Amino acid sequence: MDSYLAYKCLVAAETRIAQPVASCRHVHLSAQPLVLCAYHLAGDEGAPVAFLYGSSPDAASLVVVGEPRNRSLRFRMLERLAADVERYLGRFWSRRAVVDGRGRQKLDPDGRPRLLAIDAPQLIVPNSGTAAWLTTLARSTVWLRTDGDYAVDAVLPRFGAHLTHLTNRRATGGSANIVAATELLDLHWVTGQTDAEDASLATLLSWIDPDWLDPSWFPAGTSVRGLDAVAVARLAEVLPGAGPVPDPTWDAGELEWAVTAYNRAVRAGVDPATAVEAVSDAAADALAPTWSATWRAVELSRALPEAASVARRWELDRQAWTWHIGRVDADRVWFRRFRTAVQSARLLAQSELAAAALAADMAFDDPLVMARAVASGMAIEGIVIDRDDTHRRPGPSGRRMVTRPLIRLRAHEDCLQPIGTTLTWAANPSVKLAITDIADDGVVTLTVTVGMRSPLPEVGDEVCLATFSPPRFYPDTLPIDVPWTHRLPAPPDEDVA
Amino acid sequence: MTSRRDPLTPAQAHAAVVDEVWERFAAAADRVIGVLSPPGAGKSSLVRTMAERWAADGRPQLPVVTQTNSQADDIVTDLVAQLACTSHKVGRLHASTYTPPSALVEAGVAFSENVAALQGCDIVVAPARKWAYSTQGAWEAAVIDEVFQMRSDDLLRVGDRFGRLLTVGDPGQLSPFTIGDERLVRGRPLNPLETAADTLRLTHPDAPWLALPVSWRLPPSAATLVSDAFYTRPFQAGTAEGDRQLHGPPRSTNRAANRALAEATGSGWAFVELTEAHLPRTDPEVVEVIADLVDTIIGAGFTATDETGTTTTIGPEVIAVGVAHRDQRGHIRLAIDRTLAARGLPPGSVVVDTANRLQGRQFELLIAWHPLSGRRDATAFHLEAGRLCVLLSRHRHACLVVSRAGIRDQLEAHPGVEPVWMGEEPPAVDGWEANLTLLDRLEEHRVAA
Repeated sequence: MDSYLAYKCLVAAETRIAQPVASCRHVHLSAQPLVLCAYHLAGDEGAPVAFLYGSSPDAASLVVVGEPRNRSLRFRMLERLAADVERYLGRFWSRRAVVDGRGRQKLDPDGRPRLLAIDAPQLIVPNSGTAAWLTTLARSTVWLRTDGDYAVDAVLPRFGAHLTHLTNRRATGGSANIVAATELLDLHWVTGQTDAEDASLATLLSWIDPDWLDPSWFPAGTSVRGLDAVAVARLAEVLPGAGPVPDPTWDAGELEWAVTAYNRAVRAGVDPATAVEAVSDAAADALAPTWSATWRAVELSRALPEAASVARRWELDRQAWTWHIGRVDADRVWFRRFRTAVQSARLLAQSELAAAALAADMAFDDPLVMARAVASGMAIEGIVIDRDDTHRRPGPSGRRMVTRPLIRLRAHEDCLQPIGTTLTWAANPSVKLAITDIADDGVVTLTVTVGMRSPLPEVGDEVCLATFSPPRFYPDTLPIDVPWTHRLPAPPDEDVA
Repeated sequence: MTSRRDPLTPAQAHAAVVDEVWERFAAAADRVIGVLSPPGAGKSSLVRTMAERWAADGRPQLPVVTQTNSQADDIVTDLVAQLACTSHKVGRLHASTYTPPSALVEAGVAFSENVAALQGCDIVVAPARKWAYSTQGAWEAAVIDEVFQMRSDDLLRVGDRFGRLLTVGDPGQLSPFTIGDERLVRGRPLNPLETAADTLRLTHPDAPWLALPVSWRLPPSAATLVSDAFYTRPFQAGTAEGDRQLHGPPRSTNRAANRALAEATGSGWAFVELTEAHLPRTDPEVVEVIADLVDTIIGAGFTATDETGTTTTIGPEVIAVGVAHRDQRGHIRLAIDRTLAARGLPPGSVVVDTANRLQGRQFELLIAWHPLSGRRDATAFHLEAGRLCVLLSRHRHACLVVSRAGIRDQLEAHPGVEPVWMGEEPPAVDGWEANLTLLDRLEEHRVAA
């Protein structure tokens, strides 16, 4: 943790309320997200117990499995979930042609109009754990067979394919196809508690919105209003776990009781659809606070104005979704079980580019995020005290003199960067400056090296210069085939005894 | 293998390995040859020797792959000096944003953005990323320098361009790292975050890996410690105890900096310990102590004599400060520049940098800010054996480590929270264990700040 965040955490602890660390919202939030809360068996990621999901806070659907260890019951439940998710995803199938600035249609490499999905789906889950578990769920369903002894309904591998696409997107920094509520809140607020405590959506939310608790979740007479954030967070600690791993006490007590009741009822001849109510009731009660908390996190974040680059990042999600539904429509949606070395390298390169772009975009969009960079010396703020547009120095060839305007800045903090560092002007990232001198009195002299023809900072202007900038895009240099350096030797012949 | 004592002198032992590497490389029987080179073991001179012998043999053009532009420039500087009296020509392939250093242009090095324009050169040097962009051409063999700094995906981009590889590197360096989401690719063999050396070991299990046996940089006091804590193949110092000496004027006052320097002059190590405290990583007291140490060293006018009998004055240009984080670098640099200014010296004359950027560099004296100092946690980043190893193996005479007290408790109390990646080889040297081994030795040189 850097000093700036440490300071904000101390302020939060001292004032007993979360502190904002962003002045705008850096994540796209859909008008029609699918919020999804889930439990699986504590010891078995492959055994889901219950899902509570829906596109509106007051319309939750619940699917549960009466005996989570029974594989056919498990897949029947997942088929119901898959059908509902597919219905939700169906809303995002419409595409329209992309037009350029002059209203002309853009074409793809085959000369056909390039299409872009009008909107893309957004899954919102309570926490990072649930988001990570969706990857497991995707892998456990995408390759299921629709024929043979253990056939499942075709909706299930389709659901697996959609979920694989969406969970793969999570690797790209700034993608909003899957949003974890804890990460959403962490991005915009800090609390006075530890990171481990922040991983619990209920306590994290309590620090930000101390009025979120519903008295019905607590024993009658418990006071949940008018308390400070720290007291609310203590109360929230006793709420059931946000999943995907349920609370051990809930597991051992309520779930075990409900599953036993289900099994006993089915053996006694009760209709399984009725018998399952014991599990439904237990799961609905346990997931209710998490359902509210997730929606509350969305509402709180929606209230923040959207940051400038959010729409651009969402367009990348829409482009990826357009590609995915194109593959689905053409019945070509396949995924490898294991990536080749070339595929892994490509994925990592994309992830690195996206992470660098996201970090830079967030700082350039939001002065509160930039403040963190300034505090750690990764950006410099100050007032322009002098500008010399006629300054000339030898060009790169060393033979010709070139004009490189000079700017002198009175920095508010000590300049921690060495002479020679290239900085990017936050107000116009196309202007780059190099530090050419740092005087004892805190005056930093900078030479404009790129963007000489753009409007430059004026004398008296308050400017912010960062050591980072949105990364430039370079063409990929990855080979098509895996080279000899990355081919594993063939395993020894197994026939040899 | 024989069990009797190695009768070779360090120089003979070194020359024997260099010759064996050349014989194997020239014979072309192995598709991959690896050379493990501990700090200061003559890696650059090995690369230079191989390139020179290759060119002298009249063989086709030899590409040399480095990891950074400055490494490429260093190799080119070495090579032109070595090949000055021959007709062999050195080329430097580079990106459009790179400005050739004027000294090398004058030395007759051919510079180009296009590898086809360097056809007349016997040796062409460029960073891996640049080789990846030059999609034309294929070569019989290539040398990869700093193969333990090279990420597997960088090798992936260039592998098929070269028929076989001589790879050279220091296994005790920082592991490759990503700002992306590593969970995407970890846990599978040949993942892009491995070192290129790990990848080649997996794909060519029979490839020979030779080890340079002698560190010419580290004095005996450091070679033993660094070898024990950070290396699986042991190495020795090229100099004997007492070959290198530091002399300073006698100091009357009992200041901590003087006591630390007395300890370091005597033993080659000093562990300057501040009182235990949990502080932000730019701990102002540590900054102050380090700046004071640097100032005291410069003010004392130390002299150093080495095995060749050369005497040097320990001035700002042969001292360096190594840190873990860039913000630490900023604060230290600022504090040191102030003390330098007070002595009328130019800012920046003492090198202050992160471990990452000190890799491959050498100084007479090094002051290291212990990565775990003042922390509550012990993350993989701060425990990494490579980071500590780089900081503690840059010096020819002495190394002073500055830290808050309590590192031992921190190591013993902090649970490992890093994921274990199934399907991957564990690192050869465990950072946690290396830290403890090191601490055991350093505590013998403790000086309270």
